[in-house]
This record gives sequence, C-alpha cells and structure tokens, in this order.
Amino acid sequence: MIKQTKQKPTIGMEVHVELSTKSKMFCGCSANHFSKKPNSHTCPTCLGLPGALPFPNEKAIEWTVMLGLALNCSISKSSKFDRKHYFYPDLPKGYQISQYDKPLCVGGYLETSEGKVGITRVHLEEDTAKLKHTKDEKGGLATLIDFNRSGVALVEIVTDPDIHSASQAKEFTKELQKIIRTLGISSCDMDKGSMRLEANISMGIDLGYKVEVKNLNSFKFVEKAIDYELDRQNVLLKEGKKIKQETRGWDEKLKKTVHQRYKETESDYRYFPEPDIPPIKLDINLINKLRKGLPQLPDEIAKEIEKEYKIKPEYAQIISLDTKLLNYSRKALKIGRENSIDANTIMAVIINRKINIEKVSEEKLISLQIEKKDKVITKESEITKMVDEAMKENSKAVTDYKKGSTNAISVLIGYVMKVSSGKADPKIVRAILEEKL
Amino acid sequence: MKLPLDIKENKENLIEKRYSFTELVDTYLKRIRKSDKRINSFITITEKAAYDRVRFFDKEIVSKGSKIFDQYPLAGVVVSHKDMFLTKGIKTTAGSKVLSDYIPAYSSTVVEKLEKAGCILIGKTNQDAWGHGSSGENSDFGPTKNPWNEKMVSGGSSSGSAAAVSMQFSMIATGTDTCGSVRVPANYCGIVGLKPTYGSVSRYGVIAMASSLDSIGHMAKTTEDVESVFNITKGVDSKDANVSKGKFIRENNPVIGIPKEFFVEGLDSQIKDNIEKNIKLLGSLGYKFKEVSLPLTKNAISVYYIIMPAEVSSNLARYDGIRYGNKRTSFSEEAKRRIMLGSYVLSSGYIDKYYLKAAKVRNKIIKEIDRVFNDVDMLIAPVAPTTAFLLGEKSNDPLKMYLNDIYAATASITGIPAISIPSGFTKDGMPIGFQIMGPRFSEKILFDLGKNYQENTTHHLEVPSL
Amino acid sequence: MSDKLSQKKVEYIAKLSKLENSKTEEERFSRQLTKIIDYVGSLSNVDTSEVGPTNNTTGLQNISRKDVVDKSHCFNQSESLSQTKSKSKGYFKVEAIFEQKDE
Repeated sequence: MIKQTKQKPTIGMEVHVELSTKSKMFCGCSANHFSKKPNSHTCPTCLGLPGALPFPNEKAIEWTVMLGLALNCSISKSSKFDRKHYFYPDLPKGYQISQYDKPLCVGGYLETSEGKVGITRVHLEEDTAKLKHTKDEKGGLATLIDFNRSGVALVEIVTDPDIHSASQAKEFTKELQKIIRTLGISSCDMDKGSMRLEANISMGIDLGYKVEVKNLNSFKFVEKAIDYELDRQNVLLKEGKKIKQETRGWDEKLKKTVHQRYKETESDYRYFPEPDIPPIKLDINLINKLRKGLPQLPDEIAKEIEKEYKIKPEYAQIISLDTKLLNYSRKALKIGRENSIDANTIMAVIINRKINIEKVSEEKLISLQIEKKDKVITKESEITKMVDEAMKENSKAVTDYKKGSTNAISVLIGYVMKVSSGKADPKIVRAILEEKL
Repeated sequence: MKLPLDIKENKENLIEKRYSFTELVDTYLKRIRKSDKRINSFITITEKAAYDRVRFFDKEIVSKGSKIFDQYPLAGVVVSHKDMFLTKGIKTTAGSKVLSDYIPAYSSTVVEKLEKAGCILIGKTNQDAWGHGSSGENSDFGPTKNPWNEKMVSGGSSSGSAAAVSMQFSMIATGTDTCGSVRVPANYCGIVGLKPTYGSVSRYGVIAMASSLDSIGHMAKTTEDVESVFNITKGVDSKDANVSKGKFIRENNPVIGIPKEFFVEGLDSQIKDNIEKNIKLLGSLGYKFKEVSLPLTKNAISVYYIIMPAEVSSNLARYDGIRYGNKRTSFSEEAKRRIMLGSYVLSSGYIDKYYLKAAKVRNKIIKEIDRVFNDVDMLIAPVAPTTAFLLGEKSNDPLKMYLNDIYAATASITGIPAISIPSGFTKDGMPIGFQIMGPRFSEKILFDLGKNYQENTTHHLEVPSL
Repeated sequence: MSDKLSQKKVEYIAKLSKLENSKTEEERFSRQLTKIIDYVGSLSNVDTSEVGPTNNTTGLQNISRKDVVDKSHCFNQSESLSQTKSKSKGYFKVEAIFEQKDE
C-alpha cells in the first residue's frame, strides 16, 4: 500500500509488439520465427551481410497507422525511418532501423477507469536477434545467437507519464492488448514474447530521476513490480535519500525489483535518417481508408452489447475479445429475447458452463433454456406447499434462521429444490420462505 | 592473338570464329600472368569460373551460332568486378583485411545481371579498402600501379578495375563512384568511366560505403561499351528501394555549361589547356558552350567529407567478426579515420553543426544544380586537379588526399550522372581527360557526346605498353 | 570557432565506434581529425536559413513492398552460418554477454 506523500506516483509505459505480418519488416523472410530451427529464416538483409539493403513492408506500415488511429493518435503526413546506432551481438548491422523524430503516429490516448493515459507516440522498427545464454562444450559461459527473429516488424508504443498506480498500469496494458488483438495485427502474447513491457517509474515528474523496470513478463508482474517499486522509492524519499536513475528488473523469486544498471547519461545513438529508404508521405485518402476499415474496437463492442441486452459488464468485456464468441452470443441473445429468456441467464450458460459453441447451435441453446423455463414451477400455491413441507422437515434450520443465522435458509431452499426435482423457481421459493420466516 | 578493342569487335570475331571463347580467356589470362605482378590490379583471379563459362559458350555457339547473342547480348565480354561487388562462392574483400577470407553466400544484382547477359568473370579487382581513397594506396593488398607509369598511382578507389581495362586484362570493369572513385581512376588510366545517376543501378550486394552517395559505375575503353553495360545493369530490382527508371526529356542542340568555379587556381595548367582545346573540338562537332556560375559547389567537398564519413561509420558498424569476417582490429588506418570522423559529426552536441548543416548545404547545392540545368543541358569540368601523381606523394596528408576529390564531389552529392572521357596525354605521356555531367537520368546525352567525341579522336585507342 | 579533437575526445569517439587505438595513433588522429574538421567547418559560413536538410537525391517517396514471403533470397541454416568462425548447434556463438543492452 502506498502511504500518502506529497509526491505522486508517475509511471510511463513502453510497449513493444511484434506484428504478425507474413514477412519481416525489411526483407521477404518469413516472420513466423517462434520455435523454428535456429538461423533458418534469414537472408542477407536480416543477417546484416555486406551489401544487403532494407525494403519496407507495406502492411507493417498500414498496421502501425491503424493502431495509431485506434489509439486516437494523429498520423504524421511526413514520416521516415532512422538509424539508431549501438553495438550488441543481437543487432547485426550495428544499428537498428527505427523511427526517431518523425514517427508514424503521435499524440493519442486511452481511457482507463483511473483516468486518461496519453500516448506520446507509436512507431515502427525492426526486432533484434534472440540471445541464449549457455555453457559451451568446455564448460565455459557462452552466448548463442539466433537471427530468425532479427528484422521482424516491431511496433513501439510509448505513453506519457500519466499512469498513477499499478492497477492503472495493469488496466492500461490489458486494454492495449485487447485493442491490438481486435485489430488482428499481432498475437500480442507476453508468453510468446510478442508483447514486451517496460515501465518508467518515479514519485514525481520533476524529481529529476526515473527508474526503468524490465522483465515485466505478465500482467501480474506489472502490478506487483510497480507496487513494489513505488513503495521502495517512497521509503527512500522519506528517508531523505536521493534516488539514482537506473534500470531494475522484476525478480519473481525474490518478489522485488533488482538493480541491473545505472543510466547516468543518455546513450548517444547518433540517429540519422535512413538513406536506404525514401521518406514516407502518407496520403490522406489512405489514412481515411484505414480509419474506415478499423474493426469495432472491444470497448465499443462491449458497451453496445451491454446497452442493447442489459447484460453484466463482465460478460460484455469477455465476449468483446473473441469474435466467434461474440457473434454466437449476439445471435443467442437475439433469439433469447424473442422467447423471453433472461439475457444474463443465457450469458451465464455460455460463459460459465463453457458451452461448446461449435457443437451447440444458438437455437438449440435457447430451446434448452425454454424447456427449462417451461418446466419451472412458478405457481405460488404449489411452491407454498413445498415450502411448508420443507419447514416441517427441517425444524432445526427454521430455528437457526430465527436465531439470526440467515444462511440456514439455503437448507430449506435446497429441500424444496430437491423435492421439486429442480423445477421450482428458486427466486419465488426464497421470497415465500422469507415471508413465512 | 590480338585482343579486340570493344564489344562489337569481339562479337564479330566470335561469330566469324576468329577465335573461340576459350582462346579469348587464354589470351586475357596470359596478359594478366605476364604483367599483373607489376600492376597489381587483381586481388582474386577467377580462372576456374571463367573457363567453366567459356566452355559453355563454345558449345552453345556451335549449336546456335550468332543466335546466342539474342539470349546473351554480352556473350564473351570479359569483365572484372571491383572487390566491393559480392560474388557468390568467390572471395570478396572490399580491399580490406577485415574480409580477407570472406566468401559470400549471394551475388550482387549487377553481377547476376551481367552474368545472365553472358559476361565472363575473370577476376575481382584491387581497390582502396572500403572505397576509402582517391589513389589506390589505401588497399590492404598493396596499391595498384598506373599502367602508363608504374611509379604513379592508378587513382582510386576503383584502382584495379581501371588498370585492368587500361591494360586489356578485361574488356569491361565495374566500380563504385561515391566521390570520383570511378571517374578518377578512369581518368588517370586513360579509359572511359561512368558514374550513372544515383538510383539508376541497384546497389544490392555491393558493399556499402556511403549509402546516399554510392553509385554503381562502369569502365571500358569506349563510350559505346559503357553504354552497353549500363543498359544491362540499370533498372528496378525490388531489392534496392532507391532505384527507379527515371524520366529524361532531351532537348535538341544541347548547350554545355562551363562552370567557372571549376577552372580556378589549383587546376593543373596542362589539364586546363587540354579542356579548352577540347571545348573547341566539341564546338566543331556542333556543341554550343556557355559560361555558368555555380558558387555553392565550392562547398561540395566539405559537404561530402561530413556526410560520407557519417554514413561510413554507420555502414561499417556491421563488421564485428561475429557472423563473418575478422574483428574490427583488422581495420586499416584510413578506415578508422573515416569511422571516427563520422561518429564525431553524428555525435550529440556536434550533429547539428556538422551533419545537419551539411545536409542543408547539400540541399542548396542540389537546387543550384537543378537551376543550372534549366539554363544548359550538360556541364564540362576537370575530373581531378592533376593527372596521376607519384605513389606516396599525398599519402601522408589525409586532407590533401581528400581535396583530390574536389571536382568529383558535385555530381556525387547531387546524384547526377557524370562520364569521364580520355582526351589526351601530358608531356610525360600520362592520360588527361574531362568529365561531362548532366541532369538526373540524362545518361543518353552523355553517351551521345562521348561516342561522337570518340569517333573524332583516338586517345581512347592508345594502350600502355605491356 | 573551430572544434578541436583532443586525444581524450578521440578516445571517446573510438569507444563509441568500437575501435581501439594505440597512444601514438590517438595522437596522430587527434591532429589529423582536428585539421579535417577545421576545413569542413567552413560550411558554417553558408546561409541555410531557408532550406531544410536532405539525404535522398532520388525524389522518391513511399517505396514499400507487399507483405509476401520471398524464399528466393532466404538462407537455410548452413548458409547462414557458412562464414562465421564460431558456431554451435545451429547458433552463432560469442563469449558470454553479461552486460545489459545499452538501449
């Protein structure tokens, strides 16, 4: 729990998402690299061979624009790629082709229950190779490199430091994942590494530092790590200590963020515009076409169906993520309404009983509910008879209830249900019992 | 047997069976073995590949006769590729120890196109390592000597290619011209050198020096041959995003501009006199001349020596010895100098003053050149301030060496085409030449001028004594 | 005003560029690079107030390719690894990296 202090938890998130294009960002190699034989999906370009050249993937650019639109961003009419230089074995060219000062999308936002979160930018870049740490034949330590992932299209989403709690961070990233999956542009799966998160955390925007936290490999970790880190910083500040700008990683075993590196100065990436790729000047017609082509986003879908059928928000949220489930539910709810079956009852069956929507048609589901409904005993006189019997046969329960143990009523309801083979309408049973008691 | 001068003659000879494809290669290789130890034009001689190819053609011509030239327009044209061009399965070094044993798993577009057209690869030529040089002295494999005087430099960075064509070690050669690296050695060696429009020929598979400046070039003894090669290599290939077909509308009665800023102090008087003489000659062939002024072009060399190192420092970052090649400790001094210069001009605190400033001045010079081409159709200029100089003469002073590129820089930073044409000899028998520049994609009018000029002169027919 | 590249600066730039220099080289580079920077620094005299930077002389824009897998230029595992001096079980192998990526 955060103790009340003058400072305000200030968090910005950086999210990397692997686009599920067929080919890589700058070459025609297959982008489907997960669990493939190492270094078998490479070419001169993604291996960084002498003489190789990049050629951008049109779909990746369009999908990035779509994401920007879904996040309420402005789409840059004039954009370009830039080279970002640093040396690391997973970066074959010694530079990453990314976007620096003219990203494709800027200035968007996402609403959360704890406030609006501004999106600074959404840009497109290429992924690096995968490193594996291992022991070599002689027992020494070595690092192995697999370039299958090198060059895969990667979108980077950076938020303004508008997040003020761990729960908000979790909600934000879940929302973002929902949107990306609805757009169909990425599996956006933290387990597969197609969604990667980092948080920049401080206790105030003008305290002169921010701590970068990595290894946030699940929504749970996001929440735990941020909570831990805010606590840690809070304690230090209260003790009057200065907090150093550093990179930390969440350690699930130790349940704390652990120091990795100090970041005193910004790295000098020597960005300059990528000369091998002509600039991007997006046509307003293309942007409008992409905007029109956006699928209905989860929030909208959820709100719409909630409104129309008055189902519980939780149910609406769940089905808004899954098109098949959504279409099934819509149809079932429509038929259900025509037959006066309660919408939430239908949703409960679909979601809680995890009905096999492939096998049971919407019509069948409703007809089963109708059957059940018809069989339900609602006649008061009939139920009163059964209630009287229940009270007679369960005198202890009656006494307990009158003594104040309100839960004892369930024994009586259960008796009535048994006696009626489940056909009594439990609401009416309860009402009558309560009256009699 | 006497080697043919040009592609046309070679084709006739082959059809007339004056010699076989194999005999042709025998003769080239004999020449190479006799003299290349002195000249040092080749890093790798591809004997096996050459013989494999000519064996194929000797069979084909028996069954198909002259029809093989329909499918292989350059059949029997022996080519040397600058060692910046990747050749699958054949060592490619870029003139550097970093790649001393690098065998590429793919070939460049240009190599593939020329092979498909019937060219016979005879070897990979020597060069200033990574293209860094104007003389050939920065090769990690020893400098190439000038065929006209072995105490002199052959020019760079495509030094071996120019010497090879000059010595008739091959009919044609490829090079890269980032700032004169085809024009200068062609000029020093007395042959024709083309730097085409940036973005007219694919750079895929050619080791990058400076990405926004590298232009794939061709060398031969005649303009017609350079044109024939360019017609094969030009065009879109879906691998280089900067390549396009381009449009050019030619005017009749072309006017050639004489940029006064290119004829100031510092230019060797023999070159100045030679160009003046040739202006008169071209005038008699129907070309009109006009003096023009390009005041911003004096900054071209500074723009170049900021932008080029910046791009070099980036393009050489991939050489870390992990996936191929040797470690970065194998870089020679000139490479290190340019990498560091580049990192400096891109570094935080300096990038605005140097890199960004140069990029703006570049834009201004591009606009100035665009404007002048509203006024004239071509420009004539010297290729370098002097003819070939002595080995060692400029190698101790990097800046002095850099200033050798002063006339080449304009075409490079603006991306326009330029052709270097041999136009005479000095008192000491060293080749002199001039360059003609034109608007983007105007190669046709440059070729027309070169062909016209060479129909009326014999400088290009001279061959250095073996 | 002309920028000077001190030996210390050269050392920093070399590190940034992943190059190693001896002290003699550092001294020589310091002299040479200072001279070159001094020369190219003359560009500060050119008025560029009305023009933007450019790095592309082609005039092209919006060049991209369709999202298709092109197997013709792809390598298999042995082709990928064919030129390395250090490999292991299908991977490129380097000395263990302990340092975090600086990005």
